[in-house]
Amino acid sequence: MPACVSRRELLKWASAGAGAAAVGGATWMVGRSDADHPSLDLGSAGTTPAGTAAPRTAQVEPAPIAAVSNLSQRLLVVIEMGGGNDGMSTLVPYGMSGYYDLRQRTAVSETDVLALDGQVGLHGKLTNIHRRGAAVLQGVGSPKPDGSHFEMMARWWSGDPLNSRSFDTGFLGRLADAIGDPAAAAVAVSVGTSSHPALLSRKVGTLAIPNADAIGYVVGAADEDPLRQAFQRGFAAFGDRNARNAAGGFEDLLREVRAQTVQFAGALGTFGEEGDGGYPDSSFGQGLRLAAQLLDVDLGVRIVHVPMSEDFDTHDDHSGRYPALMEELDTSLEAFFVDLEARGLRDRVLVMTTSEFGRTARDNASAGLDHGTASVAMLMGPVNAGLYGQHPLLTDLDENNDLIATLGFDQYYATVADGWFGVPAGDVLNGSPEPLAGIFTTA
Amino acid sequence: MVNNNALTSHVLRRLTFGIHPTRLAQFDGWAPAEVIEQLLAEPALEPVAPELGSDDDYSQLPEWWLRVMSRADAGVHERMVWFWHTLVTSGLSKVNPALMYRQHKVLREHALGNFRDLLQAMAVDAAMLYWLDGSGSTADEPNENFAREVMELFALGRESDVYVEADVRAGAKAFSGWWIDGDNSDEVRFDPDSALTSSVDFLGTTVRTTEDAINTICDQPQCARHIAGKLAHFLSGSQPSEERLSELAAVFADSGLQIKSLVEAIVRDVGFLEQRNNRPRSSVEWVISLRHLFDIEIDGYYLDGLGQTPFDPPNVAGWPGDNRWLSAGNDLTKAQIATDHASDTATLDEEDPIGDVLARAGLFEVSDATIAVLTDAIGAVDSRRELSTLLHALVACSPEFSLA
Repeated sequence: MPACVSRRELLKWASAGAGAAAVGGATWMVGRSDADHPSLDLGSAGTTPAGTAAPRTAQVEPAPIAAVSNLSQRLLVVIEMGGGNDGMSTLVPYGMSGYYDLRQRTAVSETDVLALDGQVGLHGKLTNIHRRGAAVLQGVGSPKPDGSHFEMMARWWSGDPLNSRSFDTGFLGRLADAIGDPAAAAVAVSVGTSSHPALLSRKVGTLAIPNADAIGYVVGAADEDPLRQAFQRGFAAFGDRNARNAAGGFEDLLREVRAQTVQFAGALGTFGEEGDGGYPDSSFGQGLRLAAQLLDVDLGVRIVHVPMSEDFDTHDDHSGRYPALMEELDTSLEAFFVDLEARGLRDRVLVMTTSEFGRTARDNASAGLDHGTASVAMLMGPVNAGLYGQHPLLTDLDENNDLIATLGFDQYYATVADGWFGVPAGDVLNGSPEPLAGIFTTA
Repeated sequence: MVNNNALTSHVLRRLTFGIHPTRLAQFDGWAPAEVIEQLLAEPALEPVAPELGSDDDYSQLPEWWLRVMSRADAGVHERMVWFWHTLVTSGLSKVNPALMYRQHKVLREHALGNFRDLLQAMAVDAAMLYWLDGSGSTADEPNENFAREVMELFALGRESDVYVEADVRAGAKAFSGWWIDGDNSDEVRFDPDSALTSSVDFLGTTVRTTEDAINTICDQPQCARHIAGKLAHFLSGSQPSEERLSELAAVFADSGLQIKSLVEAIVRDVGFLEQRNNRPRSSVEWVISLRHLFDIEIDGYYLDGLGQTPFDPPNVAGWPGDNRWLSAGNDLTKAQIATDHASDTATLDEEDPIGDVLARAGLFEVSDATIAVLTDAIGAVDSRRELSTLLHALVACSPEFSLA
């Protein structure tokens, strides 16, 4: 059985190496030290003491942010890393035996790792996330993985790791139903041009919008502009719920979308803020900025889903492509957290990451990684930073030579539903997957 | 009794990209079946190649195709080039414009030809070799990307259970050996030393080469069925019944995978004319229809805001379809595009401005609710010019105009 490292041991490790004193620090503590939730798998333990790895030092962040205690004030931002994020590059198991054998062309060098303990560390581009701290869940996946993007995306979106096809709604849609106000213009918003299956709901409004630039076209025409006023009146009237055509079908759906659009635009009002807001001028950076704005105004939006348009499907040249992905994630999120601070939302917003699968344990001849199984997930915000769950053994792979998931993604979802929003897992997921304990901070 | 104009309009929406005004005039008084036969008989366009070679190529290429698709004489062949691009896709997010155009020419060549030839050509197309990482893949440590997607998305479908993971791995070996010679105009080369030298088991038979593997895929009865389902959905707007799908698959298989035969079987069916307004317009269809209605160029960059820039699909599955086009963001963007472009539209018939603008839009089956909104608008502005602007913008944003 894998051993488990206590916080005390971890701190001892951290302080053992000169210059590494801050690595475990106040920020990076192991979340749980009891046997129920072993926090670190030592595997066959060809360990490298953290102190000898010359990991980069990091500033010590003040104590973790205490989560707002009123559950109805809690908000969620979901970052989807589409294409399949390689967990072993986000959280590099540089000290686990087998890593450098499996990754002959794509390994992250030990000196490029922001160490968390003697075994694993964050990718070197995640400096801000490392400094602020994140709860990193290891080995997240499905007990019956599938190699198809679209199959696994459908499972993550619907919230069903085994694809029993029992849901015609999305996990985030059900979560929105459970926590949201049916009268709100939207409880969950996906930042994008097409509506998103993860947000399919029954009771509350959810919608998709790539930016808020065009809102002034449908609401707020000036009195001295009768043409534009008449356009906006007519535009809205197409969505009049009382004038709904009995014909049904897509025409009615279009009218419903129109009604939602107008209600949402009206609630947002004159919303635009000039400039880039300090965010990177990328679609992800600006998407996070929109997320912060939507959560800040009192619209009833509780969940914002931000897909990264960057491609995590690194079948080739993984090491050449991956650092830019991590840098994008890290710098955009840093701007987001600074923004949340200014808006006074730090204690209210949880950030979670998702990705349909990890990548193959072994790299291919194009110095890339094909479709794999388990990956890592990160929770940021009012969390107890550290490692949760067990890292899959790199010396005990499945029949396709891929990682064996140690944590079902439904447990990850359950942790957010129950631990963050107080929604019993069984209300939004199949069965009652057990939430992980100890992740969220308390006041 | 359905208005004949409504049927002609439907045929134009499905077999071309929208209602070009000269087409409505051309087919005035024709029976729908005659319109269908005329469009099926028309030759493929042979557009002048785009001018590539500048920093603007990434926008020039999509703009170029939009202009071609917007031509009055764009018809079934152009429509099929678009269909194949949405199904057997590659994209500018990973491939340069010159190679995307080279791939486009492959699709133009085979769009109404034989599916087997199309897939063989696409398997060794430079853009595809980049897009799905076939370039540089070796039999010893093959890259699985193309092998998986050619079966899952392009030719067989996920639900079919025709292939298993072992077939993905075996197929990847058979597809290996190709590389792109960057020093020589990105020519596609084959390196026997990195390719498979002995046969592997694949889909119940043995294959050694890329050509073998593509042939084996095309030989699966599921292949004809998969393509028939995709194309029927594309042209008639909904997934055919199991019975109808089996008929179409049989037609397609019996023809030796001749694409033209399948298209004819779908659009000559009596049910085709009944499947009107049963799906939303894609963003490309909506923008081209608006170009026709407003008689104005609309910059391709607006399509970015509507999530569908040609040559730039979000991923290997192409664009999400049907009700996923119905989003608040697209609704806002449509309002923006309509507002920004409606002021230069033609003056409307004073006697019946609403009937005039609806006819220009090719809308002959309009709900009372929509008529009521347009009627309310008439008294809202003073000049004929403003009324034209207003009615054009509102019709562009009506639910009916967003249906295909």
